[in-house]
Amino acid sequence: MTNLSPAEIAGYLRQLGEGALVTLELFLTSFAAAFVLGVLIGVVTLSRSRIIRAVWRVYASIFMGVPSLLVIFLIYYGGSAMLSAVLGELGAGVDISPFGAGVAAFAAVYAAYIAELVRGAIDNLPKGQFEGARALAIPPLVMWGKVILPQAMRLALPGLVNVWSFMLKETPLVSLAGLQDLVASAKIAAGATKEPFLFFIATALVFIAFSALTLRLATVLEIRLDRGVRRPDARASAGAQA
Amino acid sequence: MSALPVDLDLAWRSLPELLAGLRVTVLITVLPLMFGLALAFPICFARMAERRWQSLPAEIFVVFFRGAPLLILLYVVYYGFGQIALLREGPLWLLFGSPFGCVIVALTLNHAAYMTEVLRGSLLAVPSGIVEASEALGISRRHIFIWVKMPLAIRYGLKAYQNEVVSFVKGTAIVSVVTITDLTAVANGIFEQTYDPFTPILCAAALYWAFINLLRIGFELWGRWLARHQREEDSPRTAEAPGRFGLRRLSRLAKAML
Amino acid sequence: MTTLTLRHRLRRTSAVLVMLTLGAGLSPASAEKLKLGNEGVYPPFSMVDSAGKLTGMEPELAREMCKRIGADCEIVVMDFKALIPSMLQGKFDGIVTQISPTPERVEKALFAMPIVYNPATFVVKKGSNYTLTKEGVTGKGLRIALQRGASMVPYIHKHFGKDTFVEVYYDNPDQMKLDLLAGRLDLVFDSKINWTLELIAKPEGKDYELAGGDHWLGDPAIPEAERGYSWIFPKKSEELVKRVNAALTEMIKDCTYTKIRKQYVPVATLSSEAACDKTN
Repeated sequence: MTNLSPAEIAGYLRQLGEGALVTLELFLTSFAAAFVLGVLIGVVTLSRSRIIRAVWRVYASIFMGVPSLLVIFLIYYGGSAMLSAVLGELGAGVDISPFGAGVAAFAAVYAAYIAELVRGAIDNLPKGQFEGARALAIPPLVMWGKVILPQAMRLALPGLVNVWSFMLKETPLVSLAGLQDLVASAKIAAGATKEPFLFFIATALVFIAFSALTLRLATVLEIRLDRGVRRPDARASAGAQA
Repeated sequence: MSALPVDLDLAWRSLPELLAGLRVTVLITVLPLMFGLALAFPICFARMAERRWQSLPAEIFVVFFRGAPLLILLYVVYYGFGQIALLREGPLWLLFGSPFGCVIVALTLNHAAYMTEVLRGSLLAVPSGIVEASEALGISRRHIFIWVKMPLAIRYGLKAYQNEVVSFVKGTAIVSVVTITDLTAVANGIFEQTYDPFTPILCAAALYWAFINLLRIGFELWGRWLARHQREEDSPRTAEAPGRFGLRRLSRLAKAML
Repeated sequence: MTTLTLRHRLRRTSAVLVMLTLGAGLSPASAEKLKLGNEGVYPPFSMVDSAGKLTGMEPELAREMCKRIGADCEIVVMDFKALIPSMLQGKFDGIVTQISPTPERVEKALFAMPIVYNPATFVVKKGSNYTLTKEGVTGKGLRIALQRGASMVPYIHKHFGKDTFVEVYYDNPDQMKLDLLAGRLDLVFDSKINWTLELIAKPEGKDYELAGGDHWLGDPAIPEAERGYSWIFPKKSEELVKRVNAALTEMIKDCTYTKIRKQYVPVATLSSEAACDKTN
């Protein structure tokens, strides 16, 4: 089959394992950043101020209408120039790694999607929640943190799961900016061993397995969050969601 | 270096090249959209079939081609199939030998998997009552599907279809890894020779944005046309003259874009 | 009582930490740290082995040079197309991959002394008999492989026109070789030494040959005797380039260059190593 020793193949497989850890690190960091940013933006842009809403519309339109790969390249190659323009000398010293560029790009792009989900979810909450909190003199931070957002998260969960799987499948893009992740390691191994099928299909299976695993966890989470709430059309909405 | 130095001169000079790249991007978008949709129908039927031996392979197809990142699929089709000596001698090499063929195959398979699910969701969303009523009226199953289920499914699935198409267009940006010179590749090429990251990438981003929003306007118009029987009648006083593209319509469309 | 002890302990630890960091900063003349870029996939000049270690003629030469200038070098592997833009952005203190001195590049970076003479040439299938002039290839739709970001690209555009060939872009020669052997390409335009050693001299290359003669991609104004590809450094590092040149000259004179070169490339790569090459 191949003219390479099992030791060499094992060596490349080990590099793949290390790459997988990098991918995982990138993915979790990006999702966390996008989530925090998205919830913040989602809440802030519900304001009545016309300027804020206009800025939101422009930001959302741009980052949802442009390929993530271009955002990654722009931040990676242009990032330090942009930083030095904004922060002056301090910015010029900061070196943007492929990892940093990837997280920044994914956070910027997916925060827009998450913000849209959060806005939609909050819009769908009964107005009584806000009014009741005000009537009970609950301070705004507590109202948002303990009343509104938990309920919004429940409604936004299917959408969030979608964003999760989608972002996972975009993480290989960062390998094109030079990150030594799973895909980059697979490419090197495939090139060196002349066994592209072996390494690329193995990589695909890793992604599929990870996706399937997290999807299962998401269903468990959804069931848990739905306690106390009857959702008769949950099945139909889950079907149309796919 | 001033903030965001967009070299307008370079932008103007690169425009023809960028537009040529855009043409390629449009081509590798439209062809897989057509083929993928066509492929999605039989796979969707298999997926929704009662018999396990039909639904299982379809399920595996969907799980694999939806779960695998597009970049990996491209590598598998281009490098993987390129290594099979048997394939190289055979007639299929006409397809797999050309990078363009490989890209179309990989993109089609990926899109077909997503469309299978969109189709399935849309078909499931059709209220069963309408289907049962049609059956009670003695309409044949084939006619029910073409004239009752599909039109309704299209209405229910339009938003999901639009989302998938937009994501798909954005996903095509990676085909340069298998040597196809699309819009992103042209922008990168200009960057690699001039070392200016902003101008080519921002120009390419603007072109993608324009293309995607054209698509979204198209979908918005399609959705309006599908729901035309549900639109409220304008009172004679505020009714717009037929054929005139009123300001109100324009602003509604603009809102759809942003 | 416990809180007091805790606070006291915290103060002590932070005082120790502060002293350690200050101490580290004040340590006497620690080795200069340099971050260098190399393309990593340009056999035999650079490759990554199965253990993930960067090896090849240029990384080894670079490591030797760093020893001689007393610097602690970290060599980072990156696609060729990204090397120069990254250095211009400040990500690297230098690039230790052979770069051809085109006028555009000389304007933007400092070139050290030539490290190899590696002209470009065409690689074609035996018996294809292409006339490798602009007129000879116009209209034939020949697919040619070019490396992204390389000076081969503007060279082809200048001497053959932009639309005469069907240009197919790759990130490194390994990918080009795969596609050439698979029949997806008609020609490759890349460096002579690499392709002679990695394809023509190997059994898989029995159906291929070099054609079209040697092409010098750098500034044509540079006299023949001084032609060669060099390592490059940012515009402001004149001091560093002086030390690098001194180290390299030394290495060539005492034949360390030739010793390292022989491990990877059997033919001489610089005219100045002729003195050491007597034992070849």
